[in-house]
Amino acid sequence: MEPELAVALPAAGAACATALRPRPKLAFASGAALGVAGLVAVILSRADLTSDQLGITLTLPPASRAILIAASAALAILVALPPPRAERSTLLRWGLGGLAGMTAMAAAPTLGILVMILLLLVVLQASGAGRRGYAIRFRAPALAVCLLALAIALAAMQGPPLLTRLVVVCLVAGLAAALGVLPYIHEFDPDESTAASPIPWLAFVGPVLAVVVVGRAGEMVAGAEDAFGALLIGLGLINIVVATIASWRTSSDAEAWRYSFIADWGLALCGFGLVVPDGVGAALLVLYSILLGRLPLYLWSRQSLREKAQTDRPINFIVAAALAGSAPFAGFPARILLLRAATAMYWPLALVLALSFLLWLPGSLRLGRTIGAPTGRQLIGVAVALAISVVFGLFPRPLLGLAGL
Amino acid sequence: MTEVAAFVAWLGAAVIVLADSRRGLAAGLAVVALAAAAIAWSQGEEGGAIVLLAGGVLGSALRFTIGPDGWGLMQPGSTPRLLFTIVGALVALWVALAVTSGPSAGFRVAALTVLVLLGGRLLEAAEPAVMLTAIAGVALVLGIVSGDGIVSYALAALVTAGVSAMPAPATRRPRGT
Repeated sequence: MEPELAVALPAAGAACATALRPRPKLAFASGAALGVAGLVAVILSRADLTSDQLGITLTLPPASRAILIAASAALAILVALPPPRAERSTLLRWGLGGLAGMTAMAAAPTLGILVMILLLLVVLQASGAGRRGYAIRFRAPALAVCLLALAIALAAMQGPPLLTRLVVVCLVAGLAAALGVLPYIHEFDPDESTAASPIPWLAFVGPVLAVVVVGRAGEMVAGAEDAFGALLIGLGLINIVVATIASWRTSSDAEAWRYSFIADWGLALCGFGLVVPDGVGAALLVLYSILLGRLPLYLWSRQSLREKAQTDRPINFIVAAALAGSAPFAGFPARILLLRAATAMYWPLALVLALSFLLWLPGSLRLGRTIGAPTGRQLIGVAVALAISVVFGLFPRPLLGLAGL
Repeated sequence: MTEVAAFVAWLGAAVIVLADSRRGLAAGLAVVALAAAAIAWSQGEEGGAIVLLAGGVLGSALRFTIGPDGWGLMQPGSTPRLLFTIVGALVALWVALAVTSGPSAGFRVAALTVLVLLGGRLLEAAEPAVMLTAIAGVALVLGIVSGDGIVSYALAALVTAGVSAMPAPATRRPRGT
């Protein structure tokens, strides 16, 4: 199936859900039908099949396609089992809009077109109603667009090797600013709706953006691949250490969740920086676990975060174990692959990573308690997220195969 | 021709940096669009130049109708911004002429100057109309640097017009997750 359909169907779903907002049931039905059709189009679009029906060559690379499928699945789970106080049609509207943009970014032929689509997503997300001021919501992702544009402009010029290193710095800084990881953490308001908050950048749009930018960076950083990898690893380690400690020590539980996303991104950045297939595989597994584990769990914990309800039941410890990346959950094979890649590249890095993995424990125990005592739909949702994490933890190979690894 | 276009691009970006209201912002965006179109034309992309100019002019016309009233050029307290337009342009000029090389010096100067000035404006601004105009200018530059032929020019034109049509949202307390 053509990638054009994979972009157009969720976009049409988002448009229908927006246009039919006064009639929520109809908005939901039309959005869901078009969204499911979009997911089918992504699944059926053969990886690396190019299409130029619109006069532009579109291709869905295997890794981007795999992450898109995971993002679609995450949206489907959240819409089927919505968190308390969340409207299904609203979740669907925002989710399908993001999904259409993400698919377009993944299929874009060059980084220039990708950044223009990112720019549109930045403007659309900032146009929603949020508690933070418009300028605060807009500034960091817009800075990412500027930095990525600067990288593209510099890559189009000729010059000394220093110029390529400048391209590397702009690319990595742009990616960090878009995701909202250190050193460009977006301002966060715990009471803001998730769609308008920085969480979609960290946990929904971010994974696809990172996979596509890192995948396309190769041709732009030719001759400075080592610097690109080293910068990603350095940034990843800083994010791991700072965010795991912050997730443990910060006073707000919602902030702790936000830092836990950043800590996971540290692992993913290290994996991308290690370049070898095991490292990239580890990064993809971390992104799967963000999309299908941490994001749904965060959304289902928001009600108990508001009520400041904390419990020490077995379910809380199981969630804590999943968030900490212990066996048999999805984070465990990711960490093993990361250690193997680091050992192959430079063994002291593996030592540093192994020690840093311990830093996940206190923060994860804290986050596990914030789930509270889930009941009804929330309990089913938590069980589904944990089951998916266990399946990914026990059988990671099919997932890596889906991504072409 | 590209050298003149580079100067015009700086002028347009400087006006966006120095303006706080819709008329000044619209004028700056129109001048940046003119410069971007001239650079595209000089690269043999006549069709792309026309599309880019059309998108820029449409964006400028939309900006002329949306945002705080007046020109708002160089209002009290804008001295740091005035200095930034000069220092930023000098740094971009140095990088474009002394550090980089390639077929068109004007293209390099224009792209770097507009990106540096509008990036700085984005970091400093608080008014939605200003931020949207700055990012629309960045989209115009993306159109000429991304190198996908007419597709990138057309997309840049669409993005510029679309971004300029966005109304500034009111900040309110939302309900639900």
